[in-house]
Amino acid sequence: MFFYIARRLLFLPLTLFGISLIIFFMFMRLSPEQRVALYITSPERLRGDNVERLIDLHGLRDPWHIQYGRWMGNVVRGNLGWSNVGKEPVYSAIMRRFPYTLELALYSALPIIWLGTWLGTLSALYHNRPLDHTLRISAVVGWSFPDFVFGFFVLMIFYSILGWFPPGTLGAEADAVVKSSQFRSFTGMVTIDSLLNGRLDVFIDTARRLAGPVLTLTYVGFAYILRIARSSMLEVLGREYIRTARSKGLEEKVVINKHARRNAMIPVATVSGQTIIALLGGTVIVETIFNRVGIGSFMATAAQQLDFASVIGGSLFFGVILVLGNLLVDVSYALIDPRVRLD
Amino acid sequence: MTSERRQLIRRLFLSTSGFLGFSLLAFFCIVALCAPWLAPPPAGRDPYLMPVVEWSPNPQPPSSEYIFGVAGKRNIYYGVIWGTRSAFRVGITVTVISTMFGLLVGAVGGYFGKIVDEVLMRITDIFLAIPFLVAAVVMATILGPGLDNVIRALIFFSWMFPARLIRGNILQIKEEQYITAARSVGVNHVGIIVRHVLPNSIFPVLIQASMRMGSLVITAAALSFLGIGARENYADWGGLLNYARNWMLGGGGEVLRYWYMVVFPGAAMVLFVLAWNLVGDALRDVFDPRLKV
Amino acid sequence: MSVMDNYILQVHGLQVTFTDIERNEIHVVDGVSFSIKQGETLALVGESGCGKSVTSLALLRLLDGNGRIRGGNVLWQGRDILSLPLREVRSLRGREIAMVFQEPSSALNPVYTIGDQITESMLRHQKVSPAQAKKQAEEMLRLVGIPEPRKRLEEYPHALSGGMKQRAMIAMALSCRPRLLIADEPTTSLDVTIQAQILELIKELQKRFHMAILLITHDLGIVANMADRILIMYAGKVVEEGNKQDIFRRAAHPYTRGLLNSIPRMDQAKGTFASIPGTVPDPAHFPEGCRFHNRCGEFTETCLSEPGKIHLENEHFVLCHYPLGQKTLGCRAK
Repeated sequence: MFFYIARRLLFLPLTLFGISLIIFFMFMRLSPEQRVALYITSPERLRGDNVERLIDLHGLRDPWHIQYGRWMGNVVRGNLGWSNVGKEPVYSAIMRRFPYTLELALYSALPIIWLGTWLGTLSALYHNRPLDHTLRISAVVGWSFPDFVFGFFVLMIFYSILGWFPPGTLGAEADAVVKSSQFRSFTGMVTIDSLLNGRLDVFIDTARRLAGPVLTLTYVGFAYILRIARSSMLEVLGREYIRTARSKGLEEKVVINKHARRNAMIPVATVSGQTIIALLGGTVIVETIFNRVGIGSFMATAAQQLDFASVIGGSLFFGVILVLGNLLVDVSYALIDPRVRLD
Repeated sequence: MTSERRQLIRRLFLSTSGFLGFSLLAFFCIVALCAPWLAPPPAGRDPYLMPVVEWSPNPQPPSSEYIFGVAGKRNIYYGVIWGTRSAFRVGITVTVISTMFGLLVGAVGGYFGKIVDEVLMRITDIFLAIPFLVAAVVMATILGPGLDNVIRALIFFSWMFPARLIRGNILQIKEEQYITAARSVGVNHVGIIVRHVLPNSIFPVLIQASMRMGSLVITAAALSFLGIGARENYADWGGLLNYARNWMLGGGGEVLRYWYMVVFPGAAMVLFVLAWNLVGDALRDVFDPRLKV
Repeated sequence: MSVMDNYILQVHGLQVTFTDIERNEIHVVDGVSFSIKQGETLALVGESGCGKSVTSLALLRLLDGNGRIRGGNVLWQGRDILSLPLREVRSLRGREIAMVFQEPSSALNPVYTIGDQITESMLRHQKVSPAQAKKQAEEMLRLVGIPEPRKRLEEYPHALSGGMKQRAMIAMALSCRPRLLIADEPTTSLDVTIQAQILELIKELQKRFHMAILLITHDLGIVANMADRILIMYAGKVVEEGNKQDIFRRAAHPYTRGLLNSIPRMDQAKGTFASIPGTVPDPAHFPEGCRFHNRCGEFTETCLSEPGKIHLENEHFVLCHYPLGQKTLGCRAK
């Protein structure tokens, strides 16, 4: 187990190196004149030979490996660079926004996993009967919805008509409370911090604003878990040990809930872990539509404005999450299934 | 053998999802083919550029003249019809090319194993570790606007999925006897892959391809929606939704007034993706041996 | 073996159908009847696909998916299992009638410990505390010859060898002292040396618990070793029935003869070893009349009509127009 984890962790730097190279090469396709724009803060500085001077200053005409080495040198010294989009160092820009995305991802993961597992099991137990068909069709329809289309529908219905779930991260009042000096930040996740600070009003405000994006991500995402849970349950129900369990005289409830479910949930658990990881990187569109603060919307803006430092910093951040997350999933897989040994 | 295959195909079309999926696909094919008659373009102009029909930038709700309404001075109906062609183009081009490339990588890695495989799979892992949408946004922005650039960006970041699938299949098949037999007779490597391995992996790859088709069209539309996809005013569903974006997001409580800007292109996209997902579902039900009861 | 009321299980005219993908009903078991006496071993013999496993599952209504019981009755001490409420059938399963399956690695649940799976049926059927159940389970494991039973209780099935798993399966099946054990090819998946050990174990435990066994197998070697009475099944029907001596010495059905001839024997003259030509017919297309007629060396026109059941001697019955080695043999028109 220890060696397995150590070996997997050894690949982390390699993966990060690969990611940075790919993104670096994409940016190298831009001309030095295009890239110099990143260093320009006001239009006046664009006059005359300033551009050439800045290109020289930042070494933008150097061979690629020198430029890459320069960037790498900074990163090794802990400097990920300056984010033009965030108007602050990349590292703090990411760290400040991450709790919002984490909060959204976690709150979405709960209903996705719960609904997907429950409905998938139900679908399998009613295999080829009307309930199964209904559930499968509604799952496929949800799966086919682009998040921005469904997000618009949510905005129309729950904001425009019903007025329940407004967009944004926090209302003006709640925002003022959170930014005030009395409000202590524990986790950076507003729902938790507001409760710890005893500010129910802030909690309700932020929860209402979370509901829309959570609803969107849930509807678009639960189908995948449903599909896995269904096919896994179906497969397990056909196994011989289920017949053995029945031949012992066990109640059908015990057969399903004990003997079938535990086995069927092994692949579901793995996929659930992957879902949480995917959610962390998959909030780009939802955060944009619902006008929320978070890494997703930050990265979208950075990418569109070709903010090199932010894009590469954010990508490395996601790379770390992905590698560690997958490792966690694989390790927990070995813990759930007694047959699996990591080596 | 042939009667068994015919029976499989019959089951494919007779299953609920297969029937719905293929019908929807047929419908979209007809729309795409008949676009010049369903929404005649102005003479002598590129039909994929939506013509200006109104001078006011304000959106207009559906009317007898513009049955889906007007957005960004353009007829939404026109965009939805001609956008069908764009959707097919993006979906099919990206899926076919990325699948071919993935097949190549997966086949080479899976077949030769050892160091070749290790290196190829590490590279695959690295590509998988990059946030897909962000990378596609960066690449599309760097390459500049245009559907072709969207296609390039999507291919560049989506070949890993078929590569992994095919590699897994090959490793499995490699264990089986007949490959050993074929090799001992002295068939060359390429011959073995083409004649023995690929035919056995074709159905999983097809199933995955049809499922991916849907998500690729969604991603392409997401790029357009963010404003970095197809050229401005190009007939493309995501682009139509991009018109809606500012009105919806800036509109406060007024969102509902502009429903038609979302509903018509959105419905086209959902149905299109749904069609491919249903087909994929039906394919899997019929061909996935693990689910046979 | 004398009086009728010795029978603990009586099966009459059992009919089982399966539904295929095209929704056709296929008769897999067609009018099977037999009885089992207290303490005896009845072997149900036939090639794979003849319906013997389906028959055994139908007895406890364990058919899953698209298998349906379409007729007949299964009397367990006078009560018809097929018409009992499912709740009462469940209380029979594992307590009075237990089963052992062919493949122990797939019949044991991989994510629960051996101990958990053995105590489960005790806790279900007997008034015992978990601690008592565990103690009994350990006792059972010792009884079936598993070394270090206490340690094994905590282990998962994958940690045990195939033979040990089957021993654990047997311990599980016998944990509530059933009066009938249905053993479906219990040794087919095991090595030959282990096979013999397991069969000895089953015999020994049968004596000890005085239980009846319904042994399902295709292996006539095992039958010769274990059975008191034999039931030969072919294509969903019982074609011959009798005690061991009658079947092995005076087999009357050409199919039974074929099966017996296909066992290689030391004392056999060269060249007489033979296998039955052809294969078991597909249940969707059973032949008309006698279902064996297309593989039978004795085939005549008459065989295209349904044969009747003929009583040959004490408990020896056969389903054939031209039973071999009988008086009728002489009058057969060829």
